Amino acid sequence: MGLFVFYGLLYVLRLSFYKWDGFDPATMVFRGLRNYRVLFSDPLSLTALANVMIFMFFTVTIQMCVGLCVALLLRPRLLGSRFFKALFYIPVALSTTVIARTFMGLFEPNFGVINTTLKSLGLAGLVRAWLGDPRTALGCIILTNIFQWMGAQMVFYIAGLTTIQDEIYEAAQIDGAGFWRTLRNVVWPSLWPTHTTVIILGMVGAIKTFDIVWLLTGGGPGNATQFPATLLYQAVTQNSQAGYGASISVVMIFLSVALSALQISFNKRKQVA
Amino acid sequence: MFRKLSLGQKIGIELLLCLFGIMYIIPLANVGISSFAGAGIGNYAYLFTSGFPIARMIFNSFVVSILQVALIVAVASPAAFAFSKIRFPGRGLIFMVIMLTMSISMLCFITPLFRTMKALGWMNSYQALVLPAATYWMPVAILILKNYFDSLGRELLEATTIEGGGFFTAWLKVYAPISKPAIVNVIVLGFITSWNDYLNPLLFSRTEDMRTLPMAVVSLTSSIYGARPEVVFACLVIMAVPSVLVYLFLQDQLGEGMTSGSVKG
Repeated sequence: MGLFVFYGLLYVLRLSFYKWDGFDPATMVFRGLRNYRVLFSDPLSLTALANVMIFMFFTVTIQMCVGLCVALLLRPRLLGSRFFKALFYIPVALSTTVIARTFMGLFEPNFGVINTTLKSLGLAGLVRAWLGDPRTALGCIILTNIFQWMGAQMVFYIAGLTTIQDEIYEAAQIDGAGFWRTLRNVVWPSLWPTHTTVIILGMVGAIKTFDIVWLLTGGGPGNATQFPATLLYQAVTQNSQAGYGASISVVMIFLSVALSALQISFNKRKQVA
Repeated sequence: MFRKLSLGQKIGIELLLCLFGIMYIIPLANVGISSFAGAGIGNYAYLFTSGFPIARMIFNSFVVSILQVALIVAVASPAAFAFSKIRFPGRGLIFMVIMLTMSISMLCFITPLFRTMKALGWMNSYQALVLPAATYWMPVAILILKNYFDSLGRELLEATTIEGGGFFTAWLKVYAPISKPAIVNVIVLGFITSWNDYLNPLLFSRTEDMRTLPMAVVSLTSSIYGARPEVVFACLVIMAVPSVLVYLFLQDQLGEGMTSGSVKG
């Protein structure tokens, strides 16, 4: 299996220096670093890069905050918390296809829940084609993605919270710390192992993001929501640019591996400490 | 929140949970209710009788998911055992490389995968629907199982060796049977991942009769059978039911695996 992936890796790396339609190996033309030069100067690929950065920043920070809040709310195990935990995790168990179709129904311009609600509240001025408007499409993708994966972050934080001993809370209480001070000075710093896991998995996931974008907007309207993965898919399957696609792959692989290596080193340090 | 709560605080927490809950229930309930709009259960009947090959796609989804899970367990369990209990040169390095591949999108290898599948003549076949996705999920399974084998210690292995058994006997007769909780984790998470997978069938299925359910929704919307949105919603419900049921029934047996399985964020 390692060999299989390595073969793919070397193949992609070599291919990224060529111009090729992906069909007949005889038509491969060496073009050095030209693919990379295009990749880092073409407005389209720069948009994709900016989109994935915006996506990464908002999904990671919002998921962290919401996931932690929900985990804290579920911690006292009040009535119904098992139900809520299952409810919040169900989207993780659902296919992205289902989530995407569900939200397309909500965002739909004429009959969608969001626009009909806005109209009935007398806010017709805010009504728009949510996924068809370049200014809101990326936001909608981010929102949908957070809805789908928040449950996973919640589970990480529930697990993280159980590692904090009750004595620590009692000590904080004896020192006279209220809820916010306990949260900021005790809970938040003790959760750093969980934070790093959530942050790095979120960043790696953001680089991989493909299906949610492809299903919701297909990279549109007018390329406004292109991501590296959607550009790569289009380059190879629709534009016959296997070489250019390979150069996008190489950049994505480099970023993913660098982030994962960072996580592995964090975990090592955790074990040593 | 960190000590005894007053009644007011409890009510406050419940209210906040309900508020969050409503935000989650509305989209999900919207799908369920819409799937019965108009013709009621007739929407589901229409899906099966209209000529759209939904039954074939459900069958494909089950075949592909079951084969993937079987393959993953069959390969990941001995591999994880080797990484956990057998000392061989380069063990740490090979394990790390396999774990690093977990973070790379399968899409990055699209051209070599296409070339390989075409060379083998596997395009649009069950082999192509099963093997690549199973390979890319394998590291997660190896990680879950290795963690479990690590927690079991070496004593059982030493006992087997004294009785004259090798590594293979130790794995087959001793370690594999007692790793059942971890295997359940792998089966449940692997099934859900594979059942929901959209990318692998998008790349390798070419005709309607080789599509799995995540693709079915897309081809349904673009065909005449999916002209009514209620029918598409019915198809979504059919797709959601197995994975949600599997999760709900087995959620208590999913320990930490639930977290280590969610590699995507």
